[in-house]
Amino acid sequence: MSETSLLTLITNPRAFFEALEARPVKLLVPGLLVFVTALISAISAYQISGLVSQMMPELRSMGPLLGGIGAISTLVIVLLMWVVYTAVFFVISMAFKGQGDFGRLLSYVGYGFLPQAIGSIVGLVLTWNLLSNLRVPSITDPTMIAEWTQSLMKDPTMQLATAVGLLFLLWSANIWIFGVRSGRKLSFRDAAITVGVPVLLYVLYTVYTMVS
Amino acid sequence: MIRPLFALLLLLGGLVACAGASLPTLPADFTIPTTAVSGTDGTVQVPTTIATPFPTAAGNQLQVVSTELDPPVLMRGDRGTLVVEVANTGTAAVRVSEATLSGTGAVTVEGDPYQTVGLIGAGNRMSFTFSVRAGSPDGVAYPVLSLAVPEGRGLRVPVPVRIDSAAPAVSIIEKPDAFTSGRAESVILSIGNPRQEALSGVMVTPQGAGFTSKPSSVFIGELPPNGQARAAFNLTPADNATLGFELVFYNGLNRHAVAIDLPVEYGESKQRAELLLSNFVIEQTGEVYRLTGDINNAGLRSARSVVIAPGDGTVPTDPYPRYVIGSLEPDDFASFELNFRAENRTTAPLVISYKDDNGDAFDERTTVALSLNQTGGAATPGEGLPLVWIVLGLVLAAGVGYLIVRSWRR
Repeated sequence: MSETSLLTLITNPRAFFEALEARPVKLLVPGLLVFVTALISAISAYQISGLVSQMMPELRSMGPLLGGIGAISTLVIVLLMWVVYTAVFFVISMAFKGQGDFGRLLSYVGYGFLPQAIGSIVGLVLTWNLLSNLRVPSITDPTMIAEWTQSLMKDPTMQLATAVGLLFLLWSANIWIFGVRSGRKLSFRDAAITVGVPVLLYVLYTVYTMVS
Repeated sequence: MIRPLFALLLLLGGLVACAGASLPTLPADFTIPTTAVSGTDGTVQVPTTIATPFPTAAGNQLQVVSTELDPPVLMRGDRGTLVVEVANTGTAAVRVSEATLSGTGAVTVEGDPYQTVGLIGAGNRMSFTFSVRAGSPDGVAYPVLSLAVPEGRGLRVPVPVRIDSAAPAVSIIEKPDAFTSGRAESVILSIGNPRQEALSGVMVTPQGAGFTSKPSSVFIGELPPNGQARAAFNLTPADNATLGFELVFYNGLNRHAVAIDLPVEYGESKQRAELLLSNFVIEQTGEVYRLTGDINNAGLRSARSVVIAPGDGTVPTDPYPRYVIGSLEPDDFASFELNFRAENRTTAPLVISYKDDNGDAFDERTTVALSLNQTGGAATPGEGLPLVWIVLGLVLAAGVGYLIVRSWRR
């Protein structure tokens, strides 16, 4: 098994990133991983955005358009998140006197999207199962749409999908720790803090919104 | 021996001839004179046996040319007017001292208005009017008109008077199988006239206690022979009501009244509309429930102005706080949708209101369990998560946890 294979990334991320240190930075593979993650998330977003058109009869003919807008927005947001995660890690690691260029860290963070790509597939199956059998009510009051969407997010299946997303985010964070350690020449402790603090804040926020 | 026997036979024949002039029995070749009656559509001739003015005893000068009875057919107890017209067909005047009508059998003659009459000139006619009253049995009675002629043998003529006590035939052609207190029900009567002459002033009026009727009575007016008319009522009985009808009609000037009973059975009509709800789908949007389903009319009558609404303990909300179905024919169904809030409730009452064809309002109540459907919208947390998803989540968590721990051991 190659030290730079995706299987190694999953089973032994430390060896994976140590093998990459000697190689020049390439964004093709990590970019593809992020794009796949974004694409799967966009499909889920297309379904959810289409629900709004089903709720409002006057928007029923605009269902594909609204779904397309939601899908493209999600695609762009996930791609941006790749850059944002890298920037956040890069800035925080500066506090630990991290060394290494942004491009390499961007590449390493991209590899860390592999678990989220897998998690997106699981989430897509869950949301597809829920939304494909959903009877969407006719709602004319926009505030009722927000209320209905909130109640939809409290559906057990949706909560399970969110929990699976967080689980795979934690797995990505684990990979990112090894990636940041290698990409910014940090100790495991500093890398764990660099990755753990923002991810933990995000996880706490997500859990809070899911429970409240 | 033959001559005295022949003379005896002639004597007996003469006696029989004299007796025939004074007895009311009809001779074998006797024909009943014409009885002309005045009806609304002209003169009616009864009976149909018509003859030329028949010979009379007074030198064959006095003849009954017509009789007229009003009403033409009497019922038991009726008073009628019998007019007998007598003509003097001779060439000399005839003096009539008295005219009498002798009642026989079912006919009673009231009064004796012609104790003195006077001369009936040659070729003249004279009418004699008598008041008669019908008794029993039904049939044709023959009171005898007698004209006393001092100089002659006078006149005795039986006059036919028909008596038929058949009352109008009344049948109830529509009524509910059961009355419900306070609910209007349609009752339709059919009144037929089996008699041979028209009845006048026919009117049907509900009788009894503890009910209201619309209309209060039905006036039919004249009912021709073998004719039929209908009287429709909407009756709304109260508890313990007694229902019936009174049929009033006139035969000439004689008023008759017939009572018609209408048995009242209380209960729910077997043919009423029966509205059933089914195919419930409940979704929850925030605190607002959205209930959809079908309403079926499993009864035999139409339900009008059907409206479904959430009952007490719920708060109807837009966009469908109530759902108007409209009319629902038997074996028909329609879909409905309701929106309501039902805090801290596991069931929601529903009220189905509708009207029958008479406009009476009915309410039916039912409850629906507020258990959210798997195919419904947002369920409450912790409900309805399939076991397979829970197992999948646990397997994924275990797998990811294993990979994370494994990555740190190397």
